Amino acid sequence: MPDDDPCWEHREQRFGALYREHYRSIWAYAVRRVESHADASDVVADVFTIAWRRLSEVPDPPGDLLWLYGVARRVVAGKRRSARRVHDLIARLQANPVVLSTGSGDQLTDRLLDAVARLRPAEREAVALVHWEQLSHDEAARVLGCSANAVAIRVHRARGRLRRALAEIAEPERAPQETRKERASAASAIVHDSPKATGG
Amino acid sequence: MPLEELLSAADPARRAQIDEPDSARATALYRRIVRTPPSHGGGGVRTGAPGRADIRAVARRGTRRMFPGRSPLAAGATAVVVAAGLSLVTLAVSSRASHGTLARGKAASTSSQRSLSLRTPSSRRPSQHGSRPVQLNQAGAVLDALAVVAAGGPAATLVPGPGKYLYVLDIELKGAPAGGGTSMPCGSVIRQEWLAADSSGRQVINQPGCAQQSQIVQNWPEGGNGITFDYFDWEGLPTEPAAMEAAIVQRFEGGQPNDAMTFLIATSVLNVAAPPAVRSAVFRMLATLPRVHYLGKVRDPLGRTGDTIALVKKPDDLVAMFDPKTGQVLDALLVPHTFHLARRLPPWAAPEIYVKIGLVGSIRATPPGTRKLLSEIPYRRWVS
Repeated sequence: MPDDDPCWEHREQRFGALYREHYRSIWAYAVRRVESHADASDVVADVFTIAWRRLSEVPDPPGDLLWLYGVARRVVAGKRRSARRVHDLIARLQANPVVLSTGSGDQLTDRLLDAVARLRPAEREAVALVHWEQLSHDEAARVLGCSANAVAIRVHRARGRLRRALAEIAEPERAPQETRKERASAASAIVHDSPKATGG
Repeated sequence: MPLEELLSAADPARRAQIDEPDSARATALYRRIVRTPPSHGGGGVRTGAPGRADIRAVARRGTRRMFPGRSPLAAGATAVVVAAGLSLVTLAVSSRASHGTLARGKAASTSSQRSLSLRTPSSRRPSQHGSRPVQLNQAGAVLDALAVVAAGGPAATLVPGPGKYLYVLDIELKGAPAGGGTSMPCGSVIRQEWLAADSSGRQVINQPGCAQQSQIVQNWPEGGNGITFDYFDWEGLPTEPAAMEAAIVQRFEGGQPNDAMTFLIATSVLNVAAPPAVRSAVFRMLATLPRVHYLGKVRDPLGRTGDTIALVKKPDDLVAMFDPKTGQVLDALLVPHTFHLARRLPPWAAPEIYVKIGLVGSIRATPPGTRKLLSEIPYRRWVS
């Protein structure tokens, strides 16, 4: 019986510490990537269930959080696939939303979130990990299973797309024949990018 | 403003209400994951708990509405049958009735029946899934698979034609504490019911744990005071998931959405006599319900293993276990929200166990093999 097993007790202690330490981080990760509170709750449940099942594979801190992020990334991807397959679920979410990721009430913020949502998936995830999870490029690379250089490139490209999207808010009436370079230049008037540290 | 600051300000997590790890919800999740024993301890079932009673009341109200003229006992008992629906089992013989002949009083299905093979204690084997912890949130894939299985079933339904009866054998466990004795009088109830399309019917209830009056027999007259058997209320339901859900809400829930009722109806009532297309659609509809989770392969008190899903809600989760080979519901029960069903349905959880269903030619007949099944039910182990 697990309750009588000292190994079980040790296992539960370790899992308990992991759970307490990172519960909020995983929740935050989830709400940044799924649309409803219920989905975010499911993601958190799945991530920690997997962590419990594979506790021996969870690295010691600080790598444990990155490991959990990696699991969460796959769980979210699986959820999106499932949502696509069950297309009606999407309709349900839209019809009965407990939406977490939109509706800030601020036009600039809404437009930025919309632009983030329209990024390529790899770029979006890199931006989110770096700017929202506050990971370094090296750490984000460990989560994504790619090189730090690849993360830097994705973030750089994403920032360019986001700047251009925001520029369209600044001057929506600007003529359509305006060049991309001109729009980016105009965007710089309201958005000044600041480089993200790449240290591990 | 620097883009980095804009992004930080736009962080969706800033506007989300995120629980602390010691919150009630976080603690409940933690307990589910690490399989903490149920909070009420002792193995007994809180049969009087408000949440559980509420859910049962919802089920009974809904089903009693379907049988307005019956005595309370009959209505209650039938409600249990209807509310939990059909059973677990393998489709032994297919009915030759077609979907098009299902209108009441119309055509006849013949000898369709579903039966199960009980696994005797000596033949029990250790669960192959014994140490696997709960798997949350795989319900979509499992329900999709069940939908496929259901869609491939025999085209017949179990709507009885003239002179035929729908026979249902089910067992209701009454919650035997792990330490012995019974938490409710008489322990298990073994219920046999014969239902005709014209609303006549008969019910025999055996209570093997009772010292006195171990058998109760109920009969309902032909016509049944205008009762319509809503086992057949799948007729006219759309098969598109959202439309089906809306129709269930309208038809069974008085227009007021109730996820628990929808889950109950979908996992039981609509499984009884509906054709494959409807049963398949029910599974697809279940996949769209929020808070429906896959609990994994679970073994029931009869030793059968099935795919188990739950509507997770407080204070009790609604749980249904399905035969992965037929899509038939094997067991239906409520369990405390904090309890983790990892491997088996314990008898104290008081599951409704569906044993056999089929069409028979008289109000006293039973499908082949029923007597043997009844003799193999290990009810004594559940009540002592």
